[in-house]
Amino acid sequence: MQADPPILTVERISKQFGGVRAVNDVSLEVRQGEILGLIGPNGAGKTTTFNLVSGRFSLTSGEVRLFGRRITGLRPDRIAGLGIARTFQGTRIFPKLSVTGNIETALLAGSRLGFWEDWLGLARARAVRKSIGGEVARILDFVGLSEHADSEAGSLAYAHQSLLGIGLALALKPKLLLLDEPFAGMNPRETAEAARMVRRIRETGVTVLLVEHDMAAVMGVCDRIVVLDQGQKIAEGTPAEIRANQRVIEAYLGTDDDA
Amino acid sequence: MRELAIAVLAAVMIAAPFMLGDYQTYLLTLTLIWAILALSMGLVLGFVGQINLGQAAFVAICAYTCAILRQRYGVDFWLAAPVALAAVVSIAALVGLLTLRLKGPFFILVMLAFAEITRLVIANWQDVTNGPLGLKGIMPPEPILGLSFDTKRSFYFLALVVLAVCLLALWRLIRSRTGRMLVAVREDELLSEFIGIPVMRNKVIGLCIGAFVAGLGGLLLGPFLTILAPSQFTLFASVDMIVMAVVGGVGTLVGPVLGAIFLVYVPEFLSFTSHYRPAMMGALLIIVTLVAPRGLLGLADVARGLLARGFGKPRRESGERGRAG
Ligand SMILES: Nc1ncnc2c1ncn2[C@@H]1O[C@H](COP(=O)(O)OP(=O)(O)OP(=O)(O)O)[C@@H](O)[C@H]1O
Ligand SMILES: [Mg+2]
Repeated sequence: MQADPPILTVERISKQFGGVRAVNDVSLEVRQGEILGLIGPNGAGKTTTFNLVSGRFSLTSGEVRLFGRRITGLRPDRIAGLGIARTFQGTRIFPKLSVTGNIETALLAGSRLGFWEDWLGLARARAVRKSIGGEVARILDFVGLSEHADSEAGSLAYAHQSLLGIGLALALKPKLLLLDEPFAGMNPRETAEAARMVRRIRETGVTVLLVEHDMAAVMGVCDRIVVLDQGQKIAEGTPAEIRANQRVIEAYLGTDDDA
Repeated sequence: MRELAIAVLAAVMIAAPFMLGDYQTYLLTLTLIWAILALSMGLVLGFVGQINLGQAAFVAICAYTCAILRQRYGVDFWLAAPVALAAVVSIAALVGLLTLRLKGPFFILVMLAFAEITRLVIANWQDVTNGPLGLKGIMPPEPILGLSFDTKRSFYFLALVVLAVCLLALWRLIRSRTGRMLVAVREDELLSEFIGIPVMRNKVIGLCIGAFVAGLGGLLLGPFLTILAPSQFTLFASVDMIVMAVVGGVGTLVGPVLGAIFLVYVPEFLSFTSHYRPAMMGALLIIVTLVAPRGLLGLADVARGLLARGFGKPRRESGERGRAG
């Protein structure tokens, strides 16, 4: 495992918003097959880091590489196509579509379905659609939303919407999954269940980069953790190392934040 | 049940011109053409999520291109039509690439400017378009496959076929991958991008599909009216299309057709002169948005719900209708 090249290399990236350096010279590597936690107090730059990796914002400086290939400056849909899927802090789904419709949309987006064959309903297109139907069922089962398949997505409970957001990302069949606070709004039982799901995602061969405020969950689920504070990386290590790290303790105490 | 309704409707539409006089057939043909135009606006509303005040320009470009090719260069209608359609779709793609990055009111304003520029070009390019006087004596399409279109009735059937094919093609399109991508982009551009949908490309495709259908309406408009003039393609033409799409019910294929029927026949019954038409359209739009934001179809659903309750039947879900958006 150690010998594998990193799946994602983030090299000295910075992002300036006006006078704010949201991310300041951060480097990190995500290793193939691991669950890497990215933590830090509010405003530390975690979401911004996700936005830089997934192509939402342009970098002020630095470089991001996926399997050694430079992806800096690519459009989000191209980066998604290369194998990085993400969820959004506060969840983002298509609220007016059904739960099934959400997942179907993502699967169709990634499918190789030619316009004419699909429009005319040719045999091959029907076969592709049938297999998509099967995949929808599989993904909904995986994230535990099977019984809500026909519900309007916007009518789901918040925790379920978060799971649907993860399902949307999984529908891209990503190699790297970026999860931004997936456990927010979940009760302890739901969190434990979702954490188990994150591990199952990893078992299917997907590498995970996880931003989360629920420390118990992060410590329990992550192999390694990177800590950001005020845009800078202040620590990196195993959960045990991070727990004992003096700078980390100070950063969290300093913000008066229970996170 | 639905198949039966469609079959009955088809039978009525086929029988109609044999029962009606020339004027009523003319009116019905006008309705069909407006339905095609309203449908094109409905597509832009549904697929791009924007009203397009430049839609009349697409109609004009296609109508004029086809008529000019025929009158000046002696090209057969059936050859000129695809060329004109290709022209209008290319222009829509170009305009779309430039304007669809703009948000909300800016897109609307730029498309309004596009429409005005198109109209001014037509009005001033005397040599080709005959300026404000317009092109006169536009002949019905040449006979094809043993069918000729030189009577009111035969032209009616041509328009009917075009509308029917449009509806069928769009019904398929909405369910196709492309349709689903367009709906996703309309619902949430940002999320769409992150699930791998090229947003700009899809918006341009949406506008092009709208322009194509608008072009089809334009192709019929020339021979139908026998004259084309820039004064037919003002802002109000686009507004009429919007009103029809909205009055009928946005997000459906049937809505714009209903809207067209409503807006051709209601002024007819009330014998409104064209002088009051813009004011009437404006008033109607306000009333509909206030009273029945889902349009005539929404009202129909409400009525059905009331009836169903009256008969003690459980209320049926009415969500199965196609979402052109
Ligand atoms: N689009 C933006 N424009 C301007 N400033 C921004 C933008 N996005 C983030 N910031 C700023 O960058 C800093 C880092 O924000 P970021 O959202 O990355 O933090 P975070 O670590 O995700 O915090 P949280 O735990 O609250 O989600 C903050 O000061 C924030 O105000
Ligand atoms: Mg954040």
